[in-house]
Amino acid sequence: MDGQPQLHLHVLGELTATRDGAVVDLGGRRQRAVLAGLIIARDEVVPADRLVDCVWGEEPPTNANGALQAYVSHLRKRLEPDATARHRGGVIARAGPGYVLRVAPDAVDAWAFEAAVESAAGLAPADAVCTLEPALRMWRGPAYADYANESWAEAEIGRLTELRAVARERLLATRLELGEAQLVIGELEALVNEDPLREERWRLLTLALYRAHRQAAALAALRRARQVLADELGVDPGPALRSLEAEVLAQSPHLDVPTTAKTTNATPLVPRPRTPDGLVDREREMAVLRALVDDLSVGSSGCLLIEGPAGIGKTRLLDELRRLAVGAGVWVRSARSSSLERDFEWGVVRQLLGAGADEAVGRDERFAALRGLCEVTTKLADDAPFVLCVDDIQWCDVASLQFLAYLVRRLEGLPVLVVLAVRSGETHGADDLLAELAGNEAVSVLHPAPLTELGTAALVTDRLGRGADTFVATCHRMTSGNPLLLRQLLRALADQGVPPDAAHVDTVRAVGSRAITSLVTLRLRRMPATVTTVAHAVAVLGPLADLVTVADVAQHSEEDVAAALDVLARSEILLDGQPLDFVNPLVRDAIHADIPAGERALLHERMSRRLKSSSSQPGHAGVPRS
Amino acid sequence: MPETEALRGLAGGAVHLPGDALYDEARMPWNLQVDEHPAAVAYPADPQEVALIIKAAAASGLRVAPQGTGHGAPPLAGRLGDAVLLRTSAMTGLRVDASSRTARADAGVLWGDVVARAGRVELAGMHMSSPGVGVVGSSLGGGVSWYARQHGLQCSAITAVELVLADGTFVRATEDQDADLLWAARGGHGGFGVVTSLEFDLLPVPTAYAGMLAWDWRHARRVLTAWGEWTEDAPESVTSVARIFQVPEAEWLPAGLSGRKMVMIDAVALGDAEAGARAIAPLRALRPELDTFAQMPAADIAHLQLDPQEPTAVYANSVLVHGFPADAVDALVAAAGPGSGSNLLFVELRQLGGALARPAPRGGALDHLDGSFLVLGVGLDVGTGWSAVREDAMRVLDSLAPWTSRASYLSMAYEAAARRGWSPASYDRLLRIRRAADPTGLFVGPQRSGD
Repeated sequence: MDGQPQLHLHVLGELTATRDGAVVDLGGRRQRAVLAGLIIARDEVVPADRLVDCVWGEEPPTNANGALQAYVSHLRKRLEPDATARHRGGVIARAGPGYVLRVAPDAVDAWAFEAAVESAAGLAPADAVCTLEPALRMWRGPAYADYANESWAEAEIGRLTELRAVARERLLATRLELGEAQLVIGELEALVNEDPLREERWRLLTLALYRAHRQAAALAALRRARQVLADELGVDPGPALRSLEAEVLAQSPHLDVPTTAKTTNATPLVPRPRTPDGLVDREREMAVLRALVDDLSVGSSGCLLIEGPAGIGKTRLLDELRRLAVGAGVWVRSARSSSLERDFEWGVVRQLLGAGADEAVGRDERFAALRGLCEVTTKLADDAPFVLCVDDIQWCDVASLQFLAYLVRRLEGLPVLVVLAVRSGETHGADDLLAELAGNEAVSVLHPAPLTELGTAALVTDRLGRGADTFVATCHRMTSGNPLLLRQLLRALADQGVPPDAAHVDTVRAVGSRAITSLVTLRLRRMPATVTTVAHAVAVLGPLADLVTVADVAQHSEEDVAAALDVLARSEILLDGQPLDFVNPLVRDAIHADIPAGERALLHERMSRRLKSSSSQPGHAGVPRS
Repeated sequence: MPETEALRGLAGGAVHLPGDALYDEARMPWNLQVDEHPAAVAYPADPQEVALIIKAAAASGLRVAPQGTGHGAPPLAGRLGDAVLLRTSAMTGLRVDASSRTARADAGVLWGDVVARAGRVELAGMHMSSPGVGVVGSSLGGGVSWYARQHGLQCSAITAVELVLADGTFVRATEDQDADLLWAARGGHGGFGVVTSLEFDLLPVPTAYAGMLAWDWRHARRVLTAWGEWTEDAPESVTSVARIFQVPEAEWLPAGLSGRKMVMIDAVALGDAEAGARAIAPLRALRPELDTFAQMPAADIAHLQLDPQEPTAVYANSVLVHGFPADAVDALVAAAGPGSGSNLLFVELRQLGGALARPAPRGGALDHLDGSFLVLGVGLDVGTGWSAVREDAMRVLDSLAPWTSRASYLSMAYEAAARRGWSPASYDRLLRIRRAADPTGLFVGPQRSGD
């Protein structure tokens, strides 16, 4: 036997259940109300007459107790289909005058959410973000959505809704601490609009605007807060907002991002790892990554090649690796090659080593440069073990490829883990390096496989809610298990609120049989005009894209651009984090190709004008390409 | 041999030609009894893509047949060999506006989507009995909903229609502009363009008193006779359906029904539970073995009739009848009840009258239904072949010949002559509008031409 089946009950949205990932049919609204009543009581016994209240309210039928027993028996049959009738009762147990729910604390999404929010309070900021983001994503709609107007559910719905509001505030506060002021402004504006009487939201918005160097907007936000509080409640802002106002006026250093030695060093090199939501069918790969990180933390070297077609999830595995490394206290230095920067000599090395590479790559002779870079690497490794991560090495510049080959041959004894991801099925300059790595027994190779139908089902549940079998099977077939394609398909369906039932199978076929490129451009066409323009600007700017440059080139306010970037990240078109980049080069190319000719000319014109005016400023992002 | 390669690559690549991996599943409609091999299947996602496909089809000497879910596919049988089947499933945009009580649904939206979205703001749409039916196709064909006796046909609720004509031009038709096309959209069944969006009114109905009463079919005569009498003075706020149902053994059906032969009455009463209970009290007095009536959210009513959501092969045909007196009950029960030898899945009588019998104030190609009941026979192939199923249904419908109307409700009468779907004047006007919008006959018409 394979151990206990995993039962999950979902109440953050409509009440649903899954058993080993498969959806459990819980029956009609009344029958489900019994389960809802039990979940709300947590591990306390619920008397039968209270459950009768939950099901029928003030007008119970004459044989209410009998009907209740029938509901309980049906629920048991669905929740424990393997047990014989006699032995069912493990999940919904009879207890004295009523019933009690017996499930693990992580089996109910609301309980897991609550635990996550509590635990996040004690974590370091990056970890707190990684805890809060997936926890908030558990919400698929209002809590106990099917029972919104029931008096027995009211208190619990109110409690969970408040907890969610607090979690959203904490998440943005934490991201603010991590230096993401510009990126959270849009979301904070949205939070403030939702509930303008929560002063914490105004405080965070003001702080974000201030840190984004927009003092006037920060003060304006405080004035808006004062006005709203006066109009609605007739009160003045509380002490937190008042002291913030004084500090903004005084430009107090307390308002700056708190910096520690570690974060100053790490921030530019370690993008905040994305949260491990929805990673499926990657147990084997994750075990390999874990082993390599464990080895590295005790000082062993390693080299890993991740090879596969576009969209199979190579970048995602690199993200997971970064997350594991950060968790183990190991540094990560990352680079991503881009087809736009292929001719930029030492581009990848500069991304990896930063200014530390300047002296070595300045040497005239190639071999001297390689030796110099190797010394830099060795010196860094003397301080602490670290990971070198390079994505998309099929587009890596030749000089950097030579360095990577040179380094891999000399890894022995160095506490350095080199991880390279390469797109298969394309001819490129990295062939020599790949041939060399393939012949090296110390190099591990991963070929991430297409997702299974079970994995597909898990992602469908994650994005759209429990999916009908035919719906999931069609998603799987349409995408051939390619995670990028599947995510874009599910996002396209989620954007339009398509439910994952049998009636919508042809919708999956209709949307899913589009090429990935047109799927992305179709989604973008259906978004607001500002978002589309911002995506176009990011595509045109490529590696030069940052918030200020995008705002300049797209000619929208930074506030609007920040909000648009948020939408694009949530829509899985852009990566969530810095530097700005698309989730996949395919996505970037598709969007770039879809820009109308006139708009493209305009964007290029504004970009070159901006480059000219900024080329005199040393160290600007635009410099490497000039 | 028409040239189909010109279509390849349109609609972002969602065009499937014979031999392509996806062709076979894309060409199958919800009603699997229809097994056509069109020249191509395309899934455009917006009006621009629709226009490109129409132009490419015309340039290649092909015709165009729009289709949503394919619940109403049977009239297309045998007519798609030189046509591009233009499926609208990718057009899934839906907006519900609570303040104006209206919805805007693109051509791929299903009734279940509208009902769920509208329900959140305490509104209801005039949906069909199955939530998996497409909004556009069923609205163009009339649309008899659970609210029909009070509020009329769904097509009369349409306020604007957007479509692409045979020459690829995009038109938005309202009362003020291209009003002829709006008139045709109200029950004219299409054939004048590819409809990409409809706007229509919703009802301020948060809940209704609804449910099902069921008896063993031994009681068919007694129950149907009493129901027939009851319908004569039932309030317009109640719409009911009576049926003789030979329930299949299926997992998705309630355990108490599976595999049994029943007579059932489904009904929806607008208003509160007290008024609803009062209205159906005479039916309750017939002592049903099952009674599921309750005040329920309007959104749940779309699931009242337990129709299968998965694609299914079914034969369906219907007649409109005037009155359902005791003689008619006897004839029907003899043809479809115990001992009749009928294998039909169900025979149902939908109660019409009320607002359905009066011309809708807004007008339209179809503005009322000429009959007091719509009698629908539906059969599955139980191993005897489709011609036997058809004969079975014909025999049952013919048993009501003395009461049968000259008119037909074409959305559920696929074999009836097209002109019987409308008044002579409306039919003439509809044909004129179709000819003006599509002079070369590019679109495969919703019904066979001829008599």
